[in-house]
Amino acid sequence: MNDQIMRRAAFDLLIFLAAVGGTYAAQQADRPITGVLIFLTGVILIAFRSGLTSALIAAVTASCVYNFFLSEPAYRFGITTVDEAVPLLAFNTAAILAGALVGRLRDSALKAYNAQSETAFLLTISDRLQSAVRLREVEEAIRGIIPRQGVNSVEIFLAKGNSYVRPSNDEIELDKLDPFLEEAEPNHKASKPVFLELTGARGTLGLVKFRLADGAADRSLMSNLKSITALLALAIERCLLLDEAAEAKAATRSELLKDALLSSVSHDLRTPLTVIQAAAGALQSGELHLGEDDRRKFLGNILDQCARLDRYTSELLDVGQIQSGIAEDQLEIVDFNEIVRLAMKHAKSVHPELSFKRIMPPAPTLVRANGAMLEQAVYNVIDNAQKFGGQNGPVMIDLSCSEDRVILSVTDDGPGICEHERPHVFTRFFKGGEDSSKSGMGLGLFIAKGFIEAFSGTVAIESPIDCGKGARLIIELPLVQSADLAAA
Amino acid sequence: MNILIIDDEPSIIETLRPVLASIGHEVIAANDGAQALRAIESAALDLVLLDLGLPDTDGCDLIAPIKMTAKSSLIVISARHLEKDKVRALDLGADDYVDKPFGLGELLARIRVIERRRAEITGSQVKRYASDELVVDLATREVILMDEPIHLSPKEFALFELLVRNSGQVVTQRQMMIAGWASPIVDGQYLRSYMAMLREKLEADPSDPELILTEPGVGYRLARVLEPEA
Repeated sequence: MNDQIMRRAAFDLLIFLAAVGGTYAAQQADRPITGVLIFLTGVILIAFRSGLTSALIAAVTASCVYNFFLSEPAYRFGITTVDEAVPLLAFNTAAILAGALVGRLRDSALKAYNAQSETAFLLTISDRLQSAVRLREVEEAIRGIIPRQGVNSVEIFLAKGNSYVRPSNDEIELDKLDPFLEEAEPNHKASKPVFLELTGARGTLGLVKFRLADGAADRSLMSNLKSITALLALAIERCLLLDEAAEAKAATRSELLKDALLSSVSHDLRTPLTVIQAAAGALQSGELHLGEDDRRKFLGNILDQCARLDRYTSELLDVGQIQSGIAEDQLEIVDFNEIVRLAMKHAKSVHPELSFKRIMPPAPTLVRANGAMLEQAVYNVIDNAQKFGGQNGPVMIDLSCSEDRVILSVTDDGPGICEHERPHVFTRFFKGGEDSSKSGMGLGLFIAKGFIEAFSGTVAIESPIDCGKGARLIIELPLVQSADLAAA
Repeated sequence: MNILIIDDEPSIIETLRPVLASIGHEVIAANDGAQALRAIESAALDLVLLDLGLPDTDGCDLIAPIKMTAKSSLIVISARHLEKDKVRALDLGADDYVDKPFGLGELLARIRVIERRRAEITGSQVKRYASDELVVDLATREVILMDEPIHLSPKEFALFELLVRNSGQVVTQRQMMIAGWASPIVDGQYLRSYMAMLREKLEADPSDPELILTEPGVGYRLARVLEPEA
């Protein structure tokens, strides 16, 4: 900065000396008017380059130099003729006018430049804030462009009840006064902070704390800070509104889900109860004249629905078991072959019309699981195959071993599962197909997956298998190695 | 009557069919919305028992076609005991509702009310309603309870008349508001205070009503079934 001034002054001096030289030469050539004009040009040039102060210095010096050295009588001050007075007047008037004009011009140019850079600064801030969609991003966004324009740092304090929160780190400032306390370090020579209130459409949002660069606290900066604060308030308010909208949406979604679950459970539990109550009511009623066949049918219905309620109850208990987790001490080493045979027998007793085609290795395949739960899982998978395909042909049971895993695939040749339903088959309360009377509570595959995963296995579904038909459920479990057996 | 049962649960249909047949009704069954719509188009129906939870449609969407096309009466049967569902179904035109599981006696009683009401609609213009203890004359606006004339204000009579015309069936708050104030958006407090005044005049013990029952969240029901007279 100083360097620049020095250079400018040196250049001005050079112009001045050149003007003196030119004038002297003109005087020597006996052209006094040309001499005065050259001198005047020099003064105007200096005024134009360096403003009012330099112009006045140049003018006064020029007056003295002209009067002393150049005008007759030389080497003596004094105004004796009009020829001596006019140049003095001309030099000073020209210098003052040119200097003032140049000064004004330069000031307004500087102002325009400053205003432009302020506008650009505000625009940059506004652009940055546009991209912030979360509260913590607001401060980050503005940090990237500061320090600039006399602002060293910005901190946002959001009002939250009786305290302030820094959104950048979610730190809760317990005291309302905290933002105003200065860091106690003695060598911390930060400039004085400026606090401005963040005001949104719904009132006060909090505070913003600016730290300014040294000596940068002029009036235009304050209006700048106000603009920044307004932009921040807008961005913060937008983030708050976005948060609220997201929360409201999530609440609606969970409400819908809860509604759907409740409606599903109430439907599934009340339907068998309805049949039982209506059938029992009919049997008890004296006004109805029912035949022996009807009475037998009602009793059969009642027993069927009791069995259904019992099944739902154990399914709900199984889900509870999955949710609370299966403890290590409930696990034992079991033969998966035997478990699969048990599950097939179980399925056959429930659905006597069911037939199987099976490929199973003769040797035991040992896995670490809970026998009863594993049987339930395999039964659920077979039951599912029966429900959605069993009528058309036998259910394929294929048990095979890889090096360290045992793989059971259960395949039906039913209509298969359409693509949009496939991701949901393991979801709780998902019921496939249009015919809801076929399905139970929609818990079977959810329970199978939950149990198998508790035994470190996986369950997957493939559908369609061939010609756009059929579904295959694949259970994989880690085999127990003989080394583990010895250890166990 | 010709009764259509719309329910996705075969065991419920299997149970209700012989029961309703044994008391002389013809029973048709539909397992889903599509079958129901076909049945509504093709058969002459007197009553539809509609389960709201159908696999392919929202049961409420069937109410309008049932009322418009089949012009039958409608009892909603639902396992979701949600007041807003019942109110919606009733305001859409359902005549009554029964919660699952239901006592068979209760369902049969509701069906009898519907049967009587249909006979009345097909018969001549009704001028009087009467039971053993209560007589309501619509023309002279007289109410006689246990041989005692009861004076009702015009608004009280308007509300009571709606209950009487639907005796034995539920009437929603919205229907009551339209009857009393010609607007469904009246402050519920007005309705409650008028119902309290009606009970004061008509109930033996207004704090334990036996005639005008409240159906929580839904509306009111006149517990006595009154016989229409010409």
